[in-house]
Order: sequence, then structure tokens, then C-alpha cells
Amino acid sequence: MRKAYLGEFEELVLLTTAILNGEAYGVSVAKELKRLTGRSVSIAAVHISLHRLLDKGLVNSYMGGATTSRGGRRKRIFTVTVAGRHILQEIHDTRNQMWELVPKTSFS
Amino acid sequence: MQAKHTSHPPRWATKLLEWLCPEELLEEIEGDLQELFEERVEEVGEKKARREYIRSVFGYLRPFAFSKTTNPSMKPLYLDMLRNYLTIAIRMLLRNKLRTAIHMLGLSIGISTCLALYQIISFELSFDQHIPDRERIYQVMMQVEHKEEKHTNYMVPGPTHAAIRKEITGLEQIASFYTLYGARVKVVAGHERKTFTSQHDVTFANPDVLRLLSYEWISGSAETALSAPYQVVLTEQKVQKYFGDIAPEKAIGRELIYLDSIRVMVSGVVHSREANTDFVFNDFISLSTIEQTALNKTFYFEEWGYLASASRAFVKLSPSATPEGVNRQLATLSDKYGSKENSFALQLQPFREVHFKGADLGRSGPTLANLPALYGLGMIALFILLIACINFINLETAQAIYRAKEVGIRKTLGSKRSELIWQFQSETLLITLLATLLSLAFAKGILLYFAEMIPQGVTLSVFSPATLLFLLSLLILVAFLAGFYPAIVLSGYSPIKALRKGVSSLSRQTRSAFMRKNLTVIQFALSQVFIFATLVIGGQIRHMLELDMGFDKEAIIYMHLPRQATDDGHILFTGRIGQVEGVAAASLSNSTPASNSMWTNEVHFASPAGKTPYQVQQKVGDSTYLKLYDIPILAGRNIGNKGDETLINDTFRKKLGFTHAGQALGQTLYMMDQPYTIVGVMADFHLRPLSEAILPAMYRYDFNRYMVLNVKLQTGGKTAGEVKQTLARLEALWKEQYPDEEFTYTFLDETITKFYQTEANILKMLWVATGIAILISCLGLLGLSAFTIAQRTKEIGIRKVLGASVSQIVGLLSKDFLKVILIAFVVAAPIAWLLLSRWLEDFEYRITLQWWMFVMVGGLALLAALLTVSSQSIRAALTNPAKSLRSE
Repeated sequence: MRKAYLGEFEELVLLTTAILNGEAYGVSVAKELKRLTGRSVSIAAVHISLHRLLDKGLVNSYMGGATTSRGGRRKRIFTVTVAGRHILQEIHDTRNQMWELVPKTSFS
Repeated sequence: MQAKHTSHPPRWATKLLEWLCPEELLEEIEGDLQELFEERVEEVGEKKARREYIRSVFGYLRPFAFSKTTNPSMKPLYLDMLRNYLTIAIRMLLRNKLRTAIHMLGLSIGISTCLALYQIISFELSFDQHIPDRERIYQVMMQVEHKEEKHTNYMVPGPTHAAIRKEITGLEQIASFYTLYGARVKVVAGHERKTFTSQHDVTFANPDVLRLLSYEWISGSAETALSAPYQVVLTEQKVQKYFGDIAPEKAIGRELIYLDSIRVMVSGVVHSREANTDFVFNDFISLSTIEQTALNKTFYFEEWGYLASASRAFVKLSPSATPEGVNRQLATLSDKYGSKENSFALQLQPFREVHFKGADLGRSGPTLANLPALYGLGMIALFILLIACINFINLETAQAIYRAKEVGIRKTLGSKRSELIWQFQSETLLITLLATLLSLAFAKGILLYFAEMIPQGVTLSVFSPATLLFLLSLLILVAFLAGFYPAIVLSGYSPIKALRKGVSSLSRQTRSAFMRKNLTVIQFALSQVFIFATLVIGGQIRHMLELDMGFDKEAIIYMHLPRQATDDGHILFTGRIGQVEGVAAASLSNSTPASNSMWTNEVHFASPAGKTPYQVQQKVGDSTYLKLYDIPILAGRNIGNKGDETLINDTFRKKLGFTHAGQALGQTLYMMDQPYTIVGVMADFHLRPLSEAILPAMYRYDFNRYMVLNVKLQTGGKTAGEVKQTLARLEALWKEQYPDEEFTYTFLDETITKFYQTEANILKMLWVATGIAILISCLGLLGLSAFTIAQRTKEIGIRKVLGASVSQIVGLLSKDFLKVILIAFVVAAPIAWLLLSRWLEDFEYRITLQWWMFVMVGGLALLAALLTVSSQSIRAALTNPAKSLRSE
């Protein structure tokens, strides 16, 4: 069994973090999500999800450097942990296995 | 800088965000929102961006948005800091034991004095709180004016009761008391009779008394129980005392005999009072009984000119009436019934003042609270607390350099000044808390030590909410008073200076050294005022006890005689007492020469209504009285056994205008229309405590008023055992004569000593206060000198090497402190002089303040300071300089 349950939105946020590969922080995750899925995403929801993932140990975080564009405030950069990669892989594999089992006729 | 940077998100939304988000997450979230906002301003304009920003902020407004335990490194710092403060504080306490002991002792003594006082004051204020509508209740008091002299009496002439009832409007209830001290009560049960003597809780009362005091009825009612003569209402407690364990209803209709002559029936029973009250009565006899019996005459119940402290009136105003209005009506009443010579003014006294002035309703009642004494006690407690706080401030600022390094390091590591202040303040709080715990034990001791002068019923109830609240606020107040200044000084050090090697330069900071000196001056000034007061009050009491009262007071005992229908028995008995072996003389009178009770009458000279009357103190008794008390007769002869002869004292003789004693002989005085011939002039003697001057007095023969039996014992060459035998013989005779009465006697000199009980109590209090003040001040001085001397160890070493003698060094070290004491003396002397000369003004016969007293006070303070400092300075001076100079 999986160690942690992952909600749908959390899964998307985790995936996006993986896609951004070291460039993931609140705003970038929200933008990328919007670009990829086309749905409007609230920044608050992203922050909350990121910190839940942090609690579950699926992402790591560190404070990045400061820039003037943010009023001198630093970003918190998120990276996917080994556990995070495992869980994404597991979800992906489970889905694939399940796709295999779907008979071709059921969509007609 | 570009222009777009001037647009910013709504400030209130940012504030909301700061409030919503955990602190450790704020930076990134705020940053992200800011970044997004700036981008959107470019894309869609400022207005829309602001709206979006607000919407985003509200996105964080949901429960459990972020879990509480995020990361161990993100735990709030203040808990750790608080633990660190505590650790440091405890280490400081343990390391410097002298400092800890001085602080704990000083503060806890100060706090416990305040606590004890709080208990007393809250007790005094708790009296009669159960009586409803207190703000509408007043006591009727009487201002008597006589030749520029004004007296306030908390009693009213007998006819006042009826007059108020008839002529004053706006009153809801009028409660009339006529108390009966030491009554003798007989309980009739079939053929048996039980006698109870010396009942001090008996009063005559009208029905309104029980309504005003809101007694709850067990049986009977306010309407009927006291409305007719010969009725009595008892409390439940009294019913059990008189009749044993019976149901209260069963007591109704039982018969009691008061004063051997007044037969009354129990008509009602009320619940006993548990709460603190000045109305200590348990037997209420209907007031109309007085009018129906011979008491009307003996109490002078219809005489406007006669005043007895037994007669009291309380009124409850109706809600619409004002006290001013009633006072005006009372003034009219006073004018109507007062004569030109005997003018008086009836006035209302608010009920809340009654407990402090004019509440001595029953002899067994609680001792009258003395408001000035309470204030005095309060001031003393506050001063002691102040001295203790000053000690704390002095020692802490003096020792500040020991903590300078700590402050430097803390500041370097990022402590803010406010945090440091908080640290030192919390340290003070800890010490104060410990001192408060210790003070609970002290407070108990204080209450025990002063048990005699503290009203009975005051107990240390630590766990009542009010006391806890008081302690808590006192704790915070003291911690702030004592800790604030040291905290400011300590936290003010600049880290560079504090961490540099020559740290001792900090201690010479002139500002705090100056402050320290000033505070020490205040401490010692207060202590010196205390010493001075002790000296003067002690002197005054001794003066009053040693002053010749004008009569003999040694080896004289007296006893109160039971009230009897006729005095024949008393006279015979006195004759027999006079014959007893070991008794020099025995005499009957209304009272001893000097006593707390007072009986004054109007006396006219020359004719029954002649000229202005004189207020004259009355003493009555038999003809042996003057001989017994050794009061000399200046002219004429002693009185015989005739009621129309009188002696006057020398003061009265002068007032009457006779230049020498002989002229007064044969003149006639009139009192209540009765003529009295002056047969002699006696020397002046003190009828009252020495706080009052000698007033005109008469001594005459009147066998209807014998209340006291005076006995002079033979003491010349007698042993204590023989005196005891004499007393045993007196007791045997007494039991024979008055089988129901207890034999109790009092030595007159003891009674006279008791006149000055208040002053003696103040003195006792001052002794303790002075002791504590000196102790705490010296403790402070000890700490201060130990510290200064430790600082000058090297200097002393060098001086010794260069040839200074021990005495020179001791002198050098003591000089500074002695200067402080001298300044304190200069401050204290005028204050003490002012305060005490005002206190002495209350005494007619007083000592004068002498210069040697000032010298003595200064000397004592100097001596105490010198002893304290020298213990340290001598040790420092004797240290081998090789030792003190060796290490660097």
C-alpha cells in the first residue's frame, strides 16, 4: 500500500513540481498548472497543497535568493523527493496497468 | 526605479495575510502574491490586480490551511528563550546567595506587611454589609456647642426618639436603641429560677430596629412582637442559652426578669447573626417598657438636658428624601427643644461611617475600628515595601557589571533592548514570586504578633479569590517597581563597552551611581523618621503614666456592683469590706476618679435659672472616697451623708470666678432645679485620660448611683501572698452577699494604663516597623558596601603598600556611606518634627521635642550604618595587600 493518500489536485501539483525541475515555487507552479490543464488555479490552493506535500515528505524545500521584483522577499523552491518520485511512478504504473485491462469494445 | 513600482496591493489585505499565515511561511507567500500582483498590474491594470490580490488573500482564509507542526526548525523561538531566561535566573539566584537572601527577605517582609494590612482592612470594611439599603440609613448624632467648645456625641437625649417620630418627615424607619450594659436576667421555669449575670447584648428597641437590621423571623413578626410594653424578642442563640435545647417556637410566652424588676414575655424569635456586625444584640426589649416603668426616671428618658451613651437613634430615609432635607428638619427640631444655654444640633451621620466613628453600641461589641490607626498602618506597610523595592534597585544596579558581559553577548547575538528588559523583568518576577510565597508565612506571624490590637475575627484567608487577586496585583506592582529601573540600566549597555576588558568603567556610570545614592538617602530618611516616632510616642506614653493624676492609684482595686433595687445592701457590704484584714479603706461611688465613662450635667450658679449654665462633670459617692484616693481638700470640709452638699474642684472654682478657695464656701449651685451647697473645694485631679484637660467637676453624696466599690489595700510591708489572702477574704464576703455574681476585680493602675492602649498599640507597631525598616536598610547597605569594597580591592592594596593604616582605610571606605546617612538625617529631621509635633497636639499634657532626640536618632542611624559598613571595610582593610595585588 501507499504510505500517503494523494488527492487529485495534490497529484497535479506534485507532477508540475517535477516538470519544473528546480524552478518550482508558488507562482511558477500555479502558472504552469494553468497552462497545462487550462483551469484557473488559485495561488492559495497551490501554497496549501505544496505545504501538505512537504508535511508528507513528498517534496523538499529551501529558501532561494531574493530579487527586487518581490519586494526583496525570498522564494521557497520546492523539489520532488525520492518518495515523491516513487509515488508518482506508482500512480502512473497503476493507471497504465488499468488501461491495459480496459476492453477495446467498452468505448464504442 | 520604474513608475510601475509605485502601485502596490491594498495594505489591509496584506495585514490580513500577515495575520492569517504562520510567521515562518509569510515571507514566501507574501513574496509570491507580490510577484503575481506586479505581473497582473502590467497585464490587466492596477484595479483588477488589486481585486485579484484580495481574492487570493481570502483563499488562505480556511481552517487547517497549514498544519501547526511544520518543521522542527520553525518552532517559535520565544518558548526556548523563556526557558533560557528561567535557567539564567535560577543560576543567578543560586550563585549569589547573599543577594538572593537580601532580596527575598526584604521583599517578603514588605509584601507580608501589605498582606496583613489588607486582611485587616477588608475585615473592617465587611461590617454590616448584609443590611439592605445601607446608603439610605443614617445615625442621628449630636453636636454640642458650649463656649467655643464643640463635642460630637453619637447619642441622643431620650425625648429625641419620640420627637423625631412625630415631627420629622421623609423617614421610612426610625430605629431607637437604649442599650443595657451588664444586665442581670432571671429565667422563670416553674418554681425554679436561673440567673444570668452581666449580659452585655441586651437593648431596648422599637419594632423598626428589627426591620432596619433585617432580622429574619422564626416566630412572631415585626408588627406585633415589640409594639407593646413588657415584650422581648430573642435570637435563636439566646433562646438556647436561656431555655436550653428547645424549639424556638416553644420559647414564645416564657417569662424573663430583667434587672430583678422588669418582667417581660418572649414575643418573638429571630435568626442569630453570623456576619460581622456592630449590632451585637441578642435581647430586644420593647422600648415602650421604659415609658411604663420606673426606668423612665432612672434613665432620664424625658430630659433634653441629659445624655447617655446608651441612647441611640438610626433612621432610614424614604427613597425620595434627601439627607440635606432631613438635616434641615433636625436643625429646626434642635432649635425648638434646645435652650439658649444648652444648644445642640442634631445631624445625620452616614451609615458607612458608623463602624469607624460612633459604633460602640455594646460593651462586648467589636473594638471600634480606628481609622487613623488603619491609615498609619497602611502608610507603614507601604513605606516598608518601598524600602524593600529600593534595596532591590540599589543592589541590582550596583551589581550590573557582573551581568554586563551577558548583556553584551546577548546583544551581539541579536537580542533587542525590549527583549532584554523583558528578561530582567521576568527575573524580578521570579524573585518576587518566591518572596510572595515566603510572605504568606510572615503574614501569619504578623497577625499573631499583633493579635491584641487586631480586631478579633481577622484571619489569613489566602485562598479567597479577593486575596489571591490582591496578591497577584501586588506581585506585579512590586516586580515592576523593583525591576523596571535595573532592567532599563542593564539593557542600556552598549555591547562594545560591555565586552571590552575594562568593564568596570561601566559601574562608575554617574547616572546610576547618583540614583543609588538618592535612593539610599530615601531609605535612611524613612528609617530615621520611624526611629524618631518610636522615641517620641514611647516618651509620651511614659510621660502620661508617670504624671501625677492628682489621686492615688497604687494598690487600689475596684469592682462593679450588681444593679439592685436599693443600695442598702451595698452600703452594709462596704462597711464589712472595710473591716477586712489587709484592707485600708473601702468606698462606694459611681466610678473611679479617672474613667472612660463620662457623666456631665448642667449646673447653674446662684439661682435655678441663673446666668449661663456650666457643663460640670459629676462624681458621686460616699464620704470616704476622697480619703481613699488621697485627694486633698483645699478649703472647707468633706461632704457628710447629706445629698444637698457638694465639693467642687479647683478648676470649677476658678471658672466660677472665686479668686481663692475660701470664697466659694457656702455658695449655692443648682442642678435640675435642685440646690446644692458648696461645703469644700478639692484639689484638681484627672477625671479623663491625659489627652484631655481637667474640666470643672463636682463631688457629692448620692446613694442612688452606687455602681463601683473601691478598695484600698494595705501594701506597706506586705508580701504578695498576704495580698492574695486578702483578696480571697474579699471573694468569700462577696459570694456571701451576691451569690449569683462573679467576683471580678480590677487594679486601678491597670485600667489607667489601658487608657493609652491605642498609643501603646501604635508604639508596638512602630517598634516592629522601625526594626524592619532599619533591618532592610542595613541589608541594602551591606550589599552595597560589599560590592563597592570588592571593586576597590586593588586600590586598598596599593594604599596599604604605600603605608596607609587600617583605620585610615576604614575611614576612607566608610566616609561615602556616612555622608549619605547625614544627608538622610537632614531630610528626615524636619519631616519627623512636623509629623510628631502635630501628633502631640492631641494631648493636653505632652512632652516637648528635645534637641537630644534628634541627636539620638542621627546617632542611632549612624551607628547602625557604621556597624554594617565596618564589617565589610575592616575585613577589606585587614587583607594582606600581597593577596589582593597578586592576581590580575
